[in-house]
Amino acid sequence: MDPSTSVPFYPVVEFGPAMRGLAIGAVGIVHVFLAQFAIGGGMLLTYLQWRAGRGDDLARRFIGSFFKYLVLVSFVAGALTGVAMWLMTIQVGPRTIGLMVDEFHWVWATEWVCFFVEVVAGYTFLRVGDRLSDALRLRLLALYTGAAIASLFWINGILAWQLTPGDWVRTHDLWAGFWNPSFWPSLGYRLAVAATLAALAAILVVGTLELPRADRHRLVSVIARLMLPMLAMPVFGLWFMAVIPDDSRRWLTGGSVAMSMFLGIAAGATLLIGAYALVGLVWKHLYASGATAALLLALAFAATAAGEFVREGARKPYTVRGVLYSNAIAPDEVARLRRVGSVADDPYPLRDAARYPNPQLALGARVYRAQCSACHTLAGANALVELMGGWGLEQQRLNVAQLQRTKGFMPPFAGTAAEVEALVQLVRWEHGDALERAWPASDDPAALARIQAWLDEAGPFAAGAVAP
Amino acid sequence: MSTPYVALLVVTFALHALLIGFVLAGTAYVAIRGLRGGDDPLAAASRDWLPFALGAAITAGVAPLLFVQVLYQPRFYTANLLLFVRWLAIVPALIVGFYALYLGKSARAAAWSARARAAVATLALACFVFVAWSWIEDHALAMQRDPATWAAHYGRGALRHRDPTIAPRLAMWLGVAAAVWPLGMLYAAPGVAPRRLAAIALGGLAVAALGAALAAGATDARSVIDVAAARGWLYGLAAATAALALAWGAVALGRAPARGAIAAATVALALTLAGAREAMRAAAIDPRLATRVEHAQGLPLFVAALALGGAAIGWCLVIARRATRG
Repeated sequence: MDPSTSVPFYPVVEFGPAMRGLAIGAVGIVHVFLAQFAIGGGMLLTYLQWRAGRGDDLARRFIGSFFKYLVLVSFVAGALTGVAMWLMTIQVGPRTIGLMVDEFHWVWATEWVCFFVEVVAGYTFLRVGDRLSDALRLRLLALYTGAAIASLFWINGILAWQLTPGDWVRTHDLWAGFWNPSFWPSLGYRLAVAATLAALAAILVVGTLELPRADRHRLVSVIARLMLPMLAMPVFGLWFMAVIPDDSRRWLTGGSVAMSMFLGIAAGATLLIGAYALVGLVWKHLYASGATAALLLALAFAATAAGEFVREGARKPYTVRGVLYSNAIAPDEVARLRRVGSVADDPYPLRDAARYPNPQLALGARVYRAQCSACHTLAGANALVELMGGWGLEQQRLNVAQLQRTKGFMPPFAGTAAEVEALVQLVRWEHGDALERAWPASDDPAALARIQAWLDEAGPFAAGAVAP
Repeated sequence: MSTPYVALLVVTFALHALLIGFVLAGTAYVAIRGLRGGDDPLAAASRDWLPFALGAAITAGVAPLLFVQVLYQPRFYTANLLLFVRWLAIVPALIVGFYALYLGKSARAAAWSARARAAVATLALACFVFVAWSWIEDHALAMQRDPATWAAHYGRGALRHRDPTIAPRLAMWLGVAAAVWPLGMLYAAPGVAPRRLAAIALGGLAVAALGAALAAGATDARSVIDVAAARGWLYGLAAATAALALAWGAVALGRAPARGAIAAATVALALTLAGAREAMRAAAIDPRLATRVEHAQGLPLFVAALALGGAAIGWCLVIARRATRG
């Protein structure tokens, strides 16, 4: 095996009926929510400390109450879900995270320095904040907030690069990739979200305090001002939509019902929060109870979850646009894999090899594992059996062979005609109640010839991609 | 050119080891004192500092986690994937342990019985020992010389990797933890029970040495020791261990702790241990950088961030110290 041309093989893990995307999504959404809360929390505390320095004693008293929650939620769960993100990404897409580390490790190391400063500044405030002058407290909180924003700044460049790598694809210049087209709209949007989350969490905390109603009302009004950046969210959202690739934009605006629906949820939930916050709290100075804040936070979580789904979905069929497909096969490897087979060099055996009644089905299982299992299961979430089981035999062969034409956000099939046939036979075997029956291998040379012709006709490129 | 990455891996891992050593041994001390039905100023000071120390340890641990991916990516990823949910379990374990430390420090827990507080500390300790065991297991699996063992492991669907060196290496790291924690206590609880701290540190060094000897006996240590680079680190490690033992030995005999000397020897111990670990790994498996890594840009950015970040952290420590003294 020539290492310069071979695809690196990693052992593939499966999460039972949940597809791998669900596993990383669950961890990712929680982490993004907590991490953005930590950033916004810093902004809020800095603002409140600035007010405290000008004689607002209520703001001063609230800082201590809120900071406890910030430490307990963000320093513990936020930091550890960050580690979990890393470990889970290795489980779900080792080649993708490997590429990101190889390319951006100095940026990541810079982000680590910022995070370290954030943690030290935060703990310093926690331990000795009540013994410092107002001026020092403000500087310390500003340092905490600045470090948290810097941390987001660096990581945002890497994440935005995945969808819009810009000139990096041509030059492989780090900065061409970092200052990519969606960098600024993503950063602006995330900062506005961070401020909003912190304000909602703070209003929730206000509801728990033993304070006269008038004081709580005044605190809510002060805190609600942090939600003013929500006014800019439509601008950042439209900017983001304008700079993402055309096909991604089409999926989000009707081309894919699921993605459009999640975009609608994200936008709708954000609109509801924004309307209540800006009209009710900022303009009309209404009071918001803890229960209302909890409801708004739940809406914000839904918006975050839907927004992250949209961000991930918009990259399809890639994990890094133009560089790696969702199944961790590079576009320039497809032609070779169509000659030699996608699993010919895979050193990892099937754990359930004895289950398959013939070698063709076992081959199909290996092909499924290598090419499909990143986004599908056989019989659980986004199941191949449900998606393909109702098709006719020739339809199955054609649709798999020309996967990028079957659905534009699927990568091209990266294997031989025999592997297409093996995968089709596996799905048919799994679909029926045939698990107990013998299943003869299909060995029709004419069928393989038709599949090969279909593969050749569609070519080894993604839909809409220009042949190199 | 892997040298800058190896150097950064060594330094950041040493920092992580110092902090996590403080957490492991401090939690163990709190748990043991509680199980014996009592409390003392060392346990109280440990409880007070443990959450911060764990936060700092986890944060410090992110850097070696990054650099190990740069240097040994395919091996590290493969071991992670083979251990799968067993490996991922370290995250919930850390979260439970972290909150247990906060709970142990809380005013609410202060009203509980000593046994109840000991149970909380023991839970945290169990979580941290599990994480330490998991890291050693992952490391041992990643170091397999024959990739066929990975395929066999995967085929079995095993979620554990059995290796005779894991238990002694865990003993070694726990011993190092016991040797590190007393240094932290010299600063967190100045003047409190120095002879007890000395006894714990010396006992830790003995356990660490025994664990290292047992681990070496269970592996092909000779081939590693024959590697010149590893030999240099091992000599340094022996010197640092001896210096630390002498410094604490003097305290055990009744002298006042020389904090500067003990701190220098402890840091040297962590650095040489991390260096020896990496030299042994490099001797066994060549850290061959991917072409992409060799052409990676951004080092000046990191250096500038490190300088600025270091200054910011230094400023935080200064104001914390002034506020504490004031």
